Amino acid sequence: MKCLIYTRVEDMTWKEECFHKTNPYLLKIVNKPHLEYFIDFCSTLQINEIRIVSNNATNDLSDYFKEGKKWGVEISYNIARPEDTLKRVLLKNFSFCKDDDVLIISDYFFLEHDIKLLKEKSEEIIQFIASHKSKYLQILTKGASVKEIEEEEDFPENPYMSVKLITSVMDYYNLSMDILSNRCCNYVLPGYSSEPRTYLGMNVSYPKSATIDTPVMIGNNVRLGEMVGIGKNSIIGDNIIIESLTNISNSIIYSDSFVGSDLEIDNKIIYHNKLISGKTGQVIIMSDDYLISSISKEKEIGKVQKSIHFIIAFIQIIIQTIPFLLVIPFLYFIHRKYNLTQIYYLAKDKKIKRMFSVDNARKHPFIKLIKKFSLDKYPYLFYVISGKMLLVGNKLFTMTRRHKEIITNLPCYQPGVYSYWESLNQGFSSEEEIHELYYINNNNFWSNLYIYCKINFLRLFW
Amino acid sequence: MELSFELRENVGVLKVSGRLDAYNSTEFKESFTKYTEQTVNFVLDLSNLDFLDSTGLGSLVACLKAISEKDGDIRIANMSEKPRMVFEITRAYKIFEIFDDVDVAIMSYEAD
Repeated sequence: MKCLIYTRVEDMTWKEECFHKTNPYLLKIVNKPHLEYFIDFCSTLQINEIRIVSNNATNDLSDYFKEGKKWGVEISYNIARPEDTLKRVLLKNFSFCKDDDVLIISDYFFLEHDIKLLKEKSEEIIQFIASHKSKYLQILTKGASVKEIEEEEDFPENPYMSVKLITSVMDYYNLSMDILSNRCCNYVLPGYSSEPRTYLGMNVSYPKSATIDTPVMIGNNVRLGEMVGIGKNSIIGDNIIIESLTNISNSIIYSDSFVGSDLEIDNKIIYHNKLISGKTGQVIIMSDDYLISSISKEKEIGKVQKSIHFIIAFIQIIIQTIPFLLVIPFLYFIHRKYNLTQIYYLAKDKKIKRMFSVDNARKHPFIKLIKKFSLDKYPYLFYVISGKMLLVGNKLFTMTRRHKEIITNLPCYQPGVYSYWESLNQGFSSEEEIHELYYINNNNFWSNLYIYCKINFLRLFW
Repeated sequence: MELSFELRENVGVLKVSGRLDAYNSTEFKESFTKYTEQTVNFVLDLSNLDFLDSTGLGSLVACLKAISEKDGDIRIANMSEKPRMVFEITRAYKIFEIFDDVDVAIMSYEAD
């Protein structure tokens, strides 16, 4: 038997509000991604070929689950359109489904089950699913028509498992607490367990003065300060620092978070710099980094990259200062005729600035000459020095409604003096968004250096 | 880049092999335009496409745009891992129908 998991991501306001940009199937339930429970479920039923289909990008799922070797299964991926129904998805994955029975898991829910019971009664359970089709869980037998797929029926009550819908952050919180305190033996949970209901990850450091009550789950790379109290029902994720004198109980501290000193955290979820009430769902964004904040590797990488951009921009300024000073009088005359300025978006928050631009006079022979030596880039280099722009980054978009829309759709926008778009030396304005998304997802130090050199080379010799 | 074209049940099956990038996207668009003289419904078999960059994808989008104006469509089949990632990050999967089998992709035109 095979399994097809359709990770349909629909409008989940609560998820966006609390766990912005996290794929709901990667949302950790007791330190384990939601989808991993499905994979464990399949693996226990001895299903070893799984196809994950998403109507959103699957790259974050494939980055985590890869080919499934860790779980002893073979995982493949496919994408669907956001509006695709389950039937349409099966049609699009016909090649995967045609030669075996297929267990179909669809929609966003948590499957409560007991792994021991699954092992003991796997055949009985498969038969039950096959005879009780539901929109959440069903089996499509080999050779059956896609028309037999059930898209309405709920999953019936039964002694083997139940479907638990997660429709709010309170549901998420209650489910996590319930698993940790009552059902932790029903699932394979991450961490070492030397005593019942205690799970500890690797590289956890805590002083003698810290106290830990059970049930508790602590992830990898966690550092507790002096006299920290981890009370019962605490789920501490990976890469977390908790400063001295802080008490935590009945709470979830999501991975990559920093928790400051002398705090009392009860019935809460901490997600980076968000403090969420597990009881009411109220979300507070903390602006004080010393209380709670996120620990991000990206920030460090960003700093290194910005420093390199700073150095190259500085060298270029030194080289170009005298030539640029010499051309200023000519530019002044051209400016009077063509207006050598434009308004650009400088940041994702649509901050705008009027800046130097030769676009209006690009056909002027003198401007062509200036462009040849990249002197038109000179005024922008000071924005790199002041940290407002990158040397190589996104295309600097002019202030238009269409560009505003593109910037809104982009996951991040850091304009550069040089851009991937410019390096293409061709391209249609209708494809700007595609190129920018491609750049955002593929850029690295070497590709940026390549873009920088390519543009300067093309300008000089083309 | 290599292209092979065959007409099956009035659907043009275009197999793209090798690389589709900035260097050959214009050639792809020109070839595609020629094939549109025979049909407006296409299935692109990308099983042997090793590399796709944003310009290559841009050319696919441009072809889709052009063929949509003639009430046609382009459906993708047999996409391998690397092109799939490009489709994902650029959200192109929202505008193309993607199948894992050429025959089903052809059949899907009939079903519509």
